[in-house]
Amino acid sequence: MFGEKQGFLTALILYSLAALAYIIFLISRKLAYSNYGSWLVRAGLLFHTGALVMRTVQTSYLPLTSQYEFATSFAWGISLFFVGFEWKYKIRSLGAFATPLILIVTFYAALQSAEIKPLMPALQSKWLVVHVSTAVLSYGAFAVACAVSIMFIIRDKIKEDEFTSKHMPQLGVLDNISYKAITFGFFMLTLVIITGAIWAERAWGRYWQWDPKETWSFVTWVIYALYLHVRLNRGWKNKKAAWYAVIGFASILFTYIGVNTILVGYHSYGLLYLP
Amino acid sequence: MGNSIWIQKFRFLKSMGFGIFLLVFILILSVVGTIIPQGHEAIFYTERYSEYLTALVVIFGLDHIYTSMLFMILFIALAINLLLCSTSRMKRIIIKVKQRNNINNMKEISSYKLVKHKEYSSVYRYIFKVYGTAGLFKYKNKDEVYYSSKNVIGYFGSWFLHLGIMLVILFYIYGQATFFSSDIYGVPGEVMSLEGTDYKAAIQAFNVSYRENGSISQYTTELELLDEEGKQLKKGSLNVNNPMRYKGYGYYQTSMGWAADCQAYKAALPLKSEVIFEKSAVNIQAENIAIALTKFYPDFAANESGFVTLSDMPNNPALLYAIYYRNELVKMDIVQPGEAIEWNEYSFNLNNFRRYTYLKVNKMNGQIGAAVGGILIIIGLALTFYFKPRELAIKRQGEGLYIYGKAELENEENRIANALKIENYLNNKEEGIDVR
Repeated sequence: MFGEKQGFLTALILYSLAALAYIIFLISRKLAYSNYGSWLVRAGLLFHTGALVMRTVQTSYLPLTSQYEFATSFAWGISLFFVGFEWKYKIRSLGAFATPLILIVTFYAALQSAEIKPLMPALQSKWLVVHVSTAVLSYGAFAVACAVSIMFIIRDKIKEDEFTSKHMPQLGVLDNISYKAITFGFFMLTLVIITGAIWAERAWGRYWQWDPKETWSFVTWVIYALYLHVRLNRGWKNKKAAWYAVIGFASILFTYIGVNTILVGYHSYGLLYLP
Repeated sequence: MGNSIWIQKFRFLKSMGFGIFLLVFILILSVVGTIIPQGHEAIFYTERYSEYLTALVVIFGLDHIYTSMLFMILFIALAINLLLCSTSRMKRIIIKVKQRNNINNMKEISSYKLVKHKEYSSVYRYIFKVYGTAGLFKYKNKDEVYYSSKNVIGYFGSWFLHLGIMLVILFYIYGQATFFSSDIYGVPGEVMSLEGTDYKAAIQAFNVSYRENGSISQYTTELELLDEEGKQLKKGSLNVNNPMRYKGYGYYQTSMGWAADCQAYKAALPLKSEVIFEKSAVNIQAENIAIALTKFYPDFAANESGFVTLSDMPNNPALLYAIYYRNELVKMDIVQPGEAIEWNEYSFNLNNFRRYTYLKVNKMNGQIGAAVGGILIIIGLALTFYFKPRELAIKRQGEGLYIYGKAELENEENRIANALKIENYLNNKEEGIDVR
């Protein structure tokens, strides 16, 4: 029977093939491969959505509570944003930079235990849904900003020719897309932090207690706040902004993966807290 | 001369550079706080770090960064920076708003030649629509100049944002400075004083609810608050993620465990009778003897990995105890609840095992202020990013049509695309356009 696991694996295969198609497109410069990539990633998103829906039906709660569930939702968020941005801006080569990020997070999800566990009392809160789903959207937008910024950096290095002028947007356009993705991601990240604070107050009696996850969310927020500040007030754009967006996403990855694996805090749900 | 120094200081305090410096400093300290474990005794650091590093941690207060004076000062300085910046920014915003609808403050974006004309208003409306100012457009007929603007409120976005951050910082510091935290724990029927307050808490019941598959779905404590005379102040239930609140105090379901009644005897004569909690001890000081309830196994089993409990249900209860005499461990064993525990002339009985509840009682002032700050931050961000002010003016002079806009409209790619749209519109006779 085709279930959640099969749906997830199919999505993983389709994303891998999409990444391959996009990379071949960049190397061979044959347009057909970018079309294959585009359809493959859309099909992957469809299967991925199906897998998440099946898991939701099976568990009766949104797949946002375990490492596996957040990772797969995070990958889905990047995929969704990428498909949206590709459709809106018609950038053929963006896939070569975005699909590897989708793959990394999807592979990370595949390495986690997908076992369905009953929802522990600590995670039974309507704020969890708002808090984590805004995180999925925020991280997804930052990932796309990172992909576009990597594209900017590479576009800036290579020589202008017919292919690049046709399939890789001008630097100004890339810079603007990255900025738009970051503004959305930052808005969502602010919501993540505020909803997290409300939930923390209801659960622990303190809306902020410098738990490592909270602290790294704050660090990431400050990193992007500085980016937006200098961009809006001092016109910081282009190459510097592109490198900054890549560093910002590294901070996102550390907040998500690094903090969970290296640092211990209340978000580990293992210490003082009830099971 | 003296005045200019003060002006310089003031300018520095409100400058963006100072704000960025503070943010970077806070950011670095925050990261350090996640690397160095916080809130431990000096011995903890001595065991893990070199002598030199431990000295650094202790001297610079790196073991309690988030409550350190330096951290607070940085946040207060940031709040001052935001306050001063917001105040001076407000003046500029008001000037910007007042200077709306003035073609002299705008730049020419594009121009077109009008050959013939019938109804200009439809042309103007189209141009305003192209530039996205159609939603709230208005006309001011003065010297053949037509104005349209949208999202004027967007000018206030960054101001709301700065004000919101400032409020969050100030109310957080206030909340931290006046923070009250205490714990209460006990079994149903127990009444305990709450340290630091003038009332008592009575635990009426503690229930653990299970799902069909045996997993725990919720922990619920029925709690009654009493004044000093025992009069009821509030009664209610609380569970995880759903605290009980009374006069600013929140009662949070934080933990739970097993407890039992413990009776101690010496030569069959009762010495003490009280509730014993898992991982704690009943101490009989006069006799220099103590019994500890090390672990309770509701569904006891012994396998190759040691003693375990197979489930959370009391199917085969057993307990691991330890007896200390003059601070020396003298006996340790596993027995069933109610089974006599004997050592020399002393005997103990641990029975009536039930769950105890552990509640955290917190009071953090300034939460409403911080919440208002949070709302202002969201509003500020939404206004800054998604309500960009737009201003447009169209001037007709002879056969010429001139479009003016503010900096917000000057994106080169948009300008070219919009100019093309308008050019096509003006040239399109089939759509009933009667210009040219």
